[in-house]
Amino acid sequence: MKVRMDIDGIDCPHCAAKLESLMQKEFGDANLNFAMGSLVVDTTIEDEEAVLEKALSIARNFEDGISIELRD
Amino acid sequence: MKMHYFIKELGWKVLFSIVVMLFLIYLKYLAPFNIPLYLEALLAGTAYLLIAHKVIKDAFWTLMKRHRMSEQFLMTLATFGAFMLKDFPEALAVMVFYRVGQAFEEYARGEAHHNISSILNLKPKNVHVLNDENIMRDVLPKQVKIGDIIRVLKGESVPLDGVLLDDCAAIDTSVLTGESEPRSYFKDQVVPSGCINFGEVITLKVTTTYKNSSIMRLLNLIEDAAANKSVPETLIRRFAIFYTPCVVTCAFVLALVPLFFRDALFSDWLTRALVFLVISCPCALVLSVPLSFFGGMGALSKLGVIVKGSVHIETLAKLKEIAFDKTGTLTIGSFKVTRIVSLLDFVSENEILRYAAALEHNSTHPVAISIVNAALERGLHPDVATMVCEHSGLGLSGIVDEVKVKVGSARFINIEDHLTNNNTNNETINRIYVSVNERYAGYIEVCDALKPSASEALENIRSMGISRVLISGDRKEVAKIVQEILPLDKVYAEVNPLEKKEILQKEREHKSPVAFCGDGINDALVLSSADVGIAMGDIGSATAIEAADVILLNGSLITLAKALLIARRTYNLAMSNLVMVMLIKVLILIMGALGIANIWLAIFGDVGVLILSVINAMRSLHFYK
Repeated sequence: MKVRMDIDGIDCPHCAAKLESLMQKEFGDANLNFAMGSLVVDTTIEDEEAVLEKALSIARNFEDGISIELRD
Repeated sequence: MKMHYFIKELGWKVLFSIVVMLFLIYLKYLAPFNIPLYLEALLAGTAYLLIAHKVIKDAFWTLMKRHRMSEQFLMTLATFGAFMLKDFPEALAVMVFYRVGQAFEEYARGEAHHNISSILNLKPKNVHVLNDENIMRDVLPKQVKIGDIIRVLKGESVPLDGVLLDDCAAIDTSVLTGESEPRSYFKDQVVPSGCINFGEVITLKVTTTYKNSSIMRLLNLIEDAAANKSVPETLIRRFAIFYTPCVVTCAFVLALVPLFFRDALFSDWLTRALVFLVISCPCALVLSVPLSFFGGMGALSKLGVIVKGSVHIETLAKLKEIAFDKTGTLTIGSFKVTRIVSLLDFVSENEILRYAAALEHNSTHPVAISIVNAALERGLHPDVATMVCEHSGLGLSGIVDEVKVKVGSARFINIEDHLTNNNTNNETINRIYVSVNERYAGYIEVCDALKPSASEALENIRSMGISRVLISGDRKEVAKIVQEILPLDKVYAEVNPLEKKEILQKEREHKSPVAFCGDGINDALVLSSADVGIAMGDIGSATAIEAADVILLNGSLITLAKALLIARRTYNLAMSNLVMVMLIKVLILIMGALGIANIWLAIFGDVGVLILSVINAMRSLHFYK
C-alpha cells in the first residue's frame, strides 16, 4: 500500500538522497522527491498513522527541523 | 525569475553581511588606507556570527549526535581556516555565499513545486454534496461516497468523477487533455475530475472515490514519475556519495603537507586545503540534473503529454524507431459504413446489415459500433443473436432469426479477397464479409479516415532521423494504401496481437531504442515490450495508463513530434549541464592543488556553479514554446 506524505525542512538535495536511502532501508520501497516535497512509501503496514510515526522518527534522528504530514 | 521572493528568502541578516563583506573587500584590495586588524576582525566576526550561528550549531550537533561531517561542518571548518589565515573578507564570503546558495536551492525548489502546484491547485478542498432533502452541504473529498449527488458551481473544478445529470455541460478539459476549447458533455456521460466547469451549475452522480478519481490518479502519476530515474541521475547519485569524502580527505592531506616539507608555506597550503573544502559539496550536480528532467516533464505536461519518469525522456531522446498501430493512432478511429453489397438475390442489403449488426451488437470494436450505428440509422430493428461465438482475429458467428450468420474477414468466410482500392483520399477502407447459412452473401464497406495531421507529423519525425513502421491487423491492401499516403519506412499487415509483440522484438534487434505508439485498447502487451510505450487517449482509459510509459492525452500525432523534440532538448540540457559542472569543479580543484586558485574561485566553483547550473536547468520548463 502506498502512503503519500508531504515533507518539509530538508535544505540540501544531497541530504534528501541520504534520507531517502534511510527510508528505503526501513520500508523497503520509498521515494523522496526533493523538488516536490513529497515522500511516498510502499509498505505492507496497514496503518497510515504508524507509517507516519516511523518516518518522523527516522527524519528526526537524521536532522533537525524536518516536518512530515500525511497527504489527505 | 522572481527577484523579490529570492531577496526575501535571504533575509536582512545576510544582506547586512553582504554589505560588510563588500566593505572588507574594498579595504583589503582597493582602499589606499587601512584600519587596525582587531577592528577588521571584529567587523568580520560580528557579521559572520550573525549569519553563521545556526550553521555552526547544526554542524556540531550532527557531528556529535550522528557522527557525520555534514555540509555545514565542512563550511564551518573552511571559514575557521580562513579566519586563522586572517583572510577576513574571504572567511565572511564563504559563509555569505553558502547562505545565498541555500536560499537559492530553496527558491529553485519553490519554482519546481510551483510548476506542479498549478495542477495541485485542482485538488479539491471541499465538495458540495446534496443530501436526500436536496440541501447542499460542504464535505471533505474523502468523505464523499460513490452514488452521492454533488454540485459543481461555475468556474469550479470538478472534485470527483461523476455521471452528468443535466442535459449538457461545457467543460474545460485543458488540464487533462491540453485542449484549450471547452468540451461539451451530455447527460449520462462521465465527467472526469480535475476539469473546470465552464458553464452554469451542474449536478453529477459520483462514480469513484476520491482516491481513485481521475485527478488523483494524474497527480499520483506525476509524483511516482520522479521514482523512475534516468541513467545520468542514478550515476550522479552514486558519484555524489563518494565525491565529498574524497575531496575532504584531499583537503586534510593538503593541510598537512607543511608538516612534512620545511619549505612549504603554511598559509599557502592551508589556502589550498580550504579551496578543496569549499568545493566539496556536489549539490550543483545533484540538484541541476534532476531539475532539467523535471522541467522537461513540466513542459511536456503543458502539451498534454504525461511522462511516467525521466528515464523515458532519456529513451525518447535517443529514439531510433517508432512502430505505430493503425486504428485510433494514425486514423481517427471512428468508422462509418459507406457501402453495402449483397451478392445473393434473396438477401437484401438491409438484411446483410441487420445480420451483421445483430452479431456485432455487444462488441466494443470501433468497426462493430459503426455497423450497429448504421443499422440504427436506417431504422432497422436490432435483432437478437444467439450462440454468438468470437473467433479471434477472424470474426463472429451466431444465429439470427434461425439463420446461421458469419461476419468477419475474407479468410473467415472462405473466399478470396478482391478488394482493389482506387482511393486517393485520406481514407482506408475495410471490408466486413457476411455469410448466411455458410453461403457468401455480401459485404459491408467501412471506412476510417487518417488523422489530418498524420502526414505532417510523420514527416517531422522523419526529419529527426527516426524510422517509422506500421504494425497493423488490417489487410495488406489497406496497409499499402496507408504507406502511399504517409511517410512510412516499413509496413506489417494482417498481424494478430501475439505477432505484434514478436515483430516489435525483431525490430528492436535491428534498431534500438524502439517505441510503440498505440491507443492502448488491445495494445497492452506490445506497449510493455517496447523500449518505451506511448499511448494515445484520455486519462479515462485505465489500460492505457497502466501499460504505457508516455501518455498523449489529446491523441495528436503533431504533439508526439513536438514531445520527441522536447525530450531531446531536455536530455541534451541535462547532459551539458552535468559536463559543465564537472569540468569547472575539476578545473578549480586542480588549480587549487597547484596553488593557483584562491578562495574566491572556490566560492565560485561551489555557489556560482550551483546558481548557473540551476538557472540553466530550469530553462527546460519553457521548452514547450
